[in-house]
Amino acid sequence: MKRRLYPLLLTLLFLLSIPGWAAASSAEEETVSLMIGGQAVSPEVPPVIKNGRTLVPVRVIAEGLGADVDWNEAARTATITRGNQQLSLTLDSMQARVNGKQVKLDTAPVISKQRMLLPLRFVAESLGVTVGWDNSARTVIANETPQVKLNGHKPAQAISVYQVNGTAYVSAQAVADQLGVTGYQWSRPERGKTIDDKLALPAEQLEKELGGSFDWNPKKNVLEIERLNHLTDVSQDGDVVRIRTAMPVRAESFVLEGPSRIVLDLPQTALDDELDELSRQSEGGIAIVGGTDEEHKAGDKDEVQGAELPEQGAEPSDSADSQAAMSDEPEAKPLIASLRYSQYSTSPDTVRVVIELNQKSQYHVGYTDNGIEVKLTPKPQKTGFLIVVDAGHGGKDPGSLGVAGNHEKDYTLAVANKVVELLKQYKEFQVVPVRTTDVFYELSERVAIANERNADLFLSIHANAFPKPTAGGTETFYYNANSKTFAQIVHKHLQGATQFADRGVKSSAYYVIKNTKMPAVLTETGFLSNPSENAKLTNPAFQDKIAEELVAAIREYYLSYQ
Amino acid sequence: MKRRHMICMAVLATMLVAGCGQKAAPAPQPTAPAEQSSGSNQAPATIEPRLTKQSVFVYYSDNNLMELQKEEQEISFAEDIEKYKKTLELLEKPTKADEHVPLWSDFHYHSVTFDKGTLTIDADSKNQYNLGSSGEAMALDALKQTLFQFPEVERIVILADGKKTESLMGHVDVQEPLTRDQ
Repeated sequence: MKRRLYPLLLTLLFLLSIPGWAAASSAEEETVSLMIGGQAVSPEVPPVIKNGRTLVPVRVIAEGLGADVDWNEAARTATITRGNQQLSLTLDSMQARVNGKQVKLDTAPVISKQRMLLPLRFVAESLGVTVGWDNSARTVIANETPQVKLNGHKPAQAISVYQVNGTAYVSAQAVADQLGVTGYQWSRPERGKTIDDKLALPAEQLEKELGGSFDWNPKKNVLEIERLNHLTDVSQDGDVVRIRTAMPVRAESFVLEGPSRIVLDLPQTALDDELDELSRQSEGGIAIVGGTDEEHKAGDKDEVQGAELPEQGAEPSDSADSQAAMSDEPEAKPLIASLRYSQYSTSPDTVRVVIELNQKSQYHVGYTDNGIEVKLTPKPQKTGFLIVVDAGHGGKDPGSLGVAGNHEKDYTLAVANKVVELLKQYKEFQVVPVRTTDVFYELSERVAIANERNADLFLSIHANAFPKPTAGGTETFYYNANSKTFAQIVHKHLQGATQFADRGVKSSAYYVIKNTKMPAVLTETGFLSNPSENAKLTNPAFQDKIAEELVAAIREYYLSYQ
Repeated sequence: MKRRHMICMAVLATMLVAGCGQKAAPAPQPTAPAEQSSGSNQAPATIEPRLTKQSVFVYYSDNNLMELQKEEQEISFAEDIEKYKKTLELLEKPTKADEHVPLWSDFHYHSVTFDKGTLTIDADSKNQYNLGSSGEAMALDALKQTLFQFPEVERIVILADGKKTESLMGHVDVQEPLTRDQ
């Protein structure tokens, strides 16, 4: 069959050589360059971009990526085979098949200058080939996906390697993340390329920046990254824990309970010889700082890999749920009960440091050139029914504008401060204002203030606005089901105080009432854009009345539902 | 191996050319590089931009900020992305000015882009909205209702100065893309 087609091919080549038949790329189309297998490729039919996708002639795919292509004229379908991957694409059809499974394309193959053009990224990725787009050079890069070894193991997340003119460009952030150097400032980013919107640096540049060795072997198509960090010391100084490492590293930290402890995992790190020796002499390979501690002989489960999963989503600033626990503990006890470390995993190498606590604590992880400092502070303890009062907006965010040129942020602060003063008169209440001055807080910070303290109520004070000055009324919002009763009580009192039109109690997914865990309400007292409402809302005596009724609502809720 | 490839390719090229010779090849559409364009592309002077006319529904508030109001208006555009931009402009311009109040006015953005079902609006952080929480919620509702009438729009992402933002006007969480089911 192939032989029989040979004469036909010659004829075709002859046809191709006739000027103007197939050559001459159109000048009005912006050119796209191809870098395939590390070599610049210029196909006679230039690639085109359609819907943000690069379409290249089928020949480029076959030759550049080492795939076999078969054309079925009747079905107008090209079948591309490479190793055990097979995909088929049909002219002008968004439907394609990958290993027999139907998938949808976002750009269909087209005919241009008598050639079938295929979406390169889709084809390459389906064949297991690495593809990247260098926007500044307008170049599509495609090459065999190399094997990447990170300290002898397959990386947990893929590290992309792009070959350009014999140089291997490696996705820098993916390397940094997995070596535990998140947030690293690259000293020479200009030596890299921006591929798929991410910085890729030459392997030798990564070696210069991060240390260790980045060994690229194009023949074997292997990138070997050897950069193992070492733990050299763990020590305790009061409520501070110092972790020393040979190179800077970012730890992954989380909190476990029962007993309360802070766990830090150091990625791509091994114990140095001395610490390794100490750990080998210890039960379960877990060395305890400050001598042998009999209480922990058995070695807690958290140091045995796979025995226990960390609690999800525990962040340093959000450490555990604070209950007024441990209140019967003697005050003199230090925060840290014990401190220990171990080679938690060898594949990949991970060192785990565990700080066991006598009392739930907040902790701050700081990074220095030679390691990590963990500072502990006891959690603020709840002394009563805790109410967080949130004066809406503030600082750079003025909120809405009143008809007298007044700002919503000033109204909300005035009322909130009055509410806080009134609530303080009740000894069963503990009051935490978000702000008492004209400062800006992110919505997430407002929520954190309430959630971290395990508050019992959250009250956010706002005022409304609308382009038409006639719009008016009092409106109260809640979102979570646990907040509806509180919202109804607040609205009853608030609307009673204002006597504005009753816009009712409504559910709406506002940030601060959606993300707070306790009953939470956002009040829109009235419209600053409505002249008569604005005149009242800016009147201090009227504000007193509003504050009194908000406090009355909190009292009613506390007495009836707590 | 290499030789086999060459032959294989040659065969394929032959087939493709032969195949296409018989069928009337669809004219390749003028390619407008969307996200990858760097802007230096000159449209050939001979091609007149074809304007598409389309009627769209646009949403506003009533006079009292209680309910969304729908108006049918017409837009004309050459490229798809203009369709969204023109529609966004109409959010500021109700035809029944005495009954319908725009929830968006003097809204500035850096860019509006569309990619794989996601419409991204990169708003200017200096915009002054002057609405309360009720107005912000309704403004986003109006935006959703208006833009989700285009079936290809599956998600709306709102950014401020190119970055994720907690909220546009200080109340409604816009960190996650807006979707139809919300």
